[in-house]
Amino acid sequence: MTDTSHTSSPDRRVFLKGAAVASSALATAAWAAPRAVGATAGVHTGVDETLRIGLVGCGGRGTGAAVDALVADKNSELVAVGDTFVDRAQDMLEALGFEESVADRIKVSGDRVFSGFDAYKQVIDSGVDVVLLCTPPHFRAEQFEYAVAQGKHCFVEKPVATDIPSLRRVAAACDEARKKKLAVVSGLCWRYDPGVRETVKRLQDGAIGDIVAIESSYNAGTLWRRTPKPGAPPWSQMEEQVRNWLYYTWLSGDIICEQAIHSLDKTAWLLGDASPVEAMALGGRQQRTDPKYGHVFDHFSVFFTYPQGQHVYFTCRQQDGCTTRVEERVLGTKGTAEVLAGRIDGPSAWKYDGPKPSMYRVEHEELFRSIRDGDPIHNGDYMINSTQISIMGRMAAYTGKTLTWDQVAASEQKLGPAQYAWTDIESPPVAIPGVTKFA
Amino acid sequence: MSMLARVMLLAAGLLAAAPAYSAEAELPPGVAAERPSEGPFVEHDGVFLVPYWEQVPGADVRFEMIPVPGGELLLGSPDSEPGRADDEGPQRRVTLPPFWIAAREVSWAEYRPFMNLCAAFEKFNDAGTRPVTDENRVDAITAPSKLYEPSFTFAAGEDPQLPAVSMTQFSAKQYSKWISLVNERFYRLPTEAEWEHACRAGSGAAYAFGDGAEQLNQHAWHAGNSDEATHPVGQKRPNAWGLYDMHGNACEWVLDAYTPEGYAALPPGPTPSDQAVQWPTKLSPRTLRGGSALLDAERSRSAARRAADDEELKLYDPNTPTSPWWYANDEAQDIGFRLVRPYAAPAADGRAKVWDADVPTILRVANFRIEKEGRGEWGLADPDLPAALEALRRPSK
Repeated sequence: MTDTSHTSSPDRRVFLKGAAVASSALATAAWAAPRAVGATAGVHTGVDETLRIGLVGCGGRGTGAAVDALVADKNSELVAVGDTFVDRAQDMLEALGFEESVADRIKVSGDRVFSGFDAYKQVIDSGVDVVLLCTPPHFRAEQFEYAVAQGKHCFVEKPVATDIPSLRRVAAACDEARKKKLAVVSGLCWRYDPGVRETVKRLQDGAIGDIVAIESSYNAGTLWRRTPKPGAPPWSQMEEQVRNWLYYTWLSGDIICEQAIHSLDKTAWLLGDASPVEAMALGGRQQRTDPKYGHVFDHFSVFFTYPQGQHVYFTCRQQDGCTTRVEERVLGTKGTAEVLAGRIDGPSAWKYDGPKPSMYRVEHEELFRSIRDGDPIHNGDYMINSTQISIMGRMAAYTGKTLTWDQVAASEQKLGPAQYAWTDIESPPVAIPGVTKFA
Repeated sequence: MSMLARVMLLAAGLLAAAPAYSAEAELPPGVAAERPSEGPFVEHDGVFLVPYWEQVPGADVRFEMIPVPGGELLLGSPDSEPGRADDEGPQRRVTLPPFWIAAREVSWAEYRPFMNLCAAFEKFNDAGTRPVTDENRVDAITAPSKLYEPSFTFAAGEDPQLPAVSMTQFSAKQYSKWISLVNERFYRLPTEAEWEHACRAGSGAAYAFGDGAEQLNQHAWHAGNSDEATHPVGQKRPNAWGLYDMHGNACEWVLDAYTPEGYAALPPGPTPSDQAVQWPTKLSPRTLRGGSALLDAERSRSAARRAADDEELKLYDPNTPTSPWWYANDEAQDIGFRLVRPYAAPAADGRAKVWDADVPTILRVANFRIEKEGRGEWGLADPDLPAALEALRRPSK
């Protein structure tokens, strides 16, 4: 067990208090949902028992997570998979065929391949012990809630919500998971990278004095987009959006939530998992303007102010032909550091030179070990906090208004269609700072 | 244009069978009829192989090709060489015809236009132009997927003169196919024997400049002098044949499988170089040569070999199936390549072997990533490609 997955800081408690107040009404409503069948579900000890894994969300990351889980725990089996689209679930099983090292533990019979918007329920109800939640983030809250209600240990991909009402549901489900001693491991994977862990620990121990500011960037290129097979019938707008979910805020939360949350999570971690007091932001859409790229921005710049006066100067970008940079440069009273590079400069100069196992493997190894040890990891606090930070940055950029943490925490804006059906829903308009209203 | 291109390709094929050039024929780049009055050259077959610059298709970037004399290579190192590993022998005699090899490792300036093809091919496919069909797939390449997380790949920075790194061998092979088909000149990765021949530049010593490592700092970026990062190509001294960074900076892909038992499977020789290749029959391990900014000095020796294990190098890839074009692991931050051009290009049926996926799983994964995930793209590589790319760049109404 590592301290990074269990620490709780005063700042985090402040956040939780705030969230609890804001979410109490919704949380109560959410918890009218069915409870676990077996009250003691989720207790596993020793190494002999086979842990059965269910995968919800069969994209490349979900498939990767399934492989990571199987590699991490030799006594685990994948027994059920689900995706909105049956072809994706089938593709996933085909993709797993490329992974010879785990092939003998893929035990997904035909009647355990589920599709549709309710596929998650069927996966969770398939007698699994551990659920990997890897769909587009919009669906996470409902699925996580159900998994916890059914007493399942969860691997929860980042981010965990795209709007605040959903985030409250996640927070309530986390409380329940803690009570039930269920593991909640977040896909904010850098928390499991040995080099980043060691660097953050040294910085928190004062290697560069007090942290004054962090310059944080997730400046990358453009990403994939999917199209129907040549000759296949065109997709409905709903299908177009769900398949190309990156480009729709209700599904992905925009690039700042979907991708750059990794950076925002590291900044919060460095600052003791505090929550920023306020955020001022710019953002827009310059290069990826074609409507086929939905309505998300392609760049953001956010200044976050933290409670003890530290500042986070953050940028993220998905544009081609531009300099890429993914790194946190930490500025302290006695030196500077670069977190991903694992380097500290100044009087306590140091460079990480330890092992570099895959963080994706490490997070699953620790997840399964914690389940078997009877002391399940709970990453709920930071995954909620960091998700709200990313939503805060988006909202500040969309509206062009400086927003406070409490304002954002009180947001009642619920994104996405009222119901899920394969119809021609509209693509929301591109936000215009100064015009788009905070909600 | 494409008809003409085909005729020219045919002509090139004929020349390959009978490489002598007639006095009247227009000579290809790198071939001179007269003995050059200055600069390196290799006399062969009645003509003179000379240095030349090759254009990177669709970009204002060129790379220099240097002629290397043929001859006999003693492949591998003797038991007595300090720092030697068991996989460097037994030594084998290999005979090589002359060829050209790139003076420098492929830089980002050269590799970027190849990376940019993914977005361009997407646009062609959206517009339904230049479709890849079963009939023309032999002339198609897979463009590498866009990088999700650039920080592994660009750990040393994004200076265009840094060596391009972290690509798979398959991607490097597709790059050589792209340049060959667009420029209508045959390029490929070197074989292991060609690479070592070029590195040694006639020297049987541990390094091209001799046995001691004292001069290494003048010739190579290695772990002892690199500050743990690759450096712009061509900064250190070249070897006797004018080749830079053979002893360091980035490790370089060759065509051969990596064999822990070294060259035991090859006959003592002399063996013609095209029969002295240990062709891969599985995905891993494959061979990297030439030391690197991240490896110790003794691994910069001319005969030193590095095994590339595909699965290990993809350990940081969060997706399944893992990328067939990119490694997302720190261990790949020093993996690059350079191209060779043999004097006699092989016939068309000998090209797929050096350009395309050579084990089924590579193509299966590439197709899965392209068709199911929308990551990476198929596109045609032909002489019309630069004009088609230029048309994409022009603003349309």
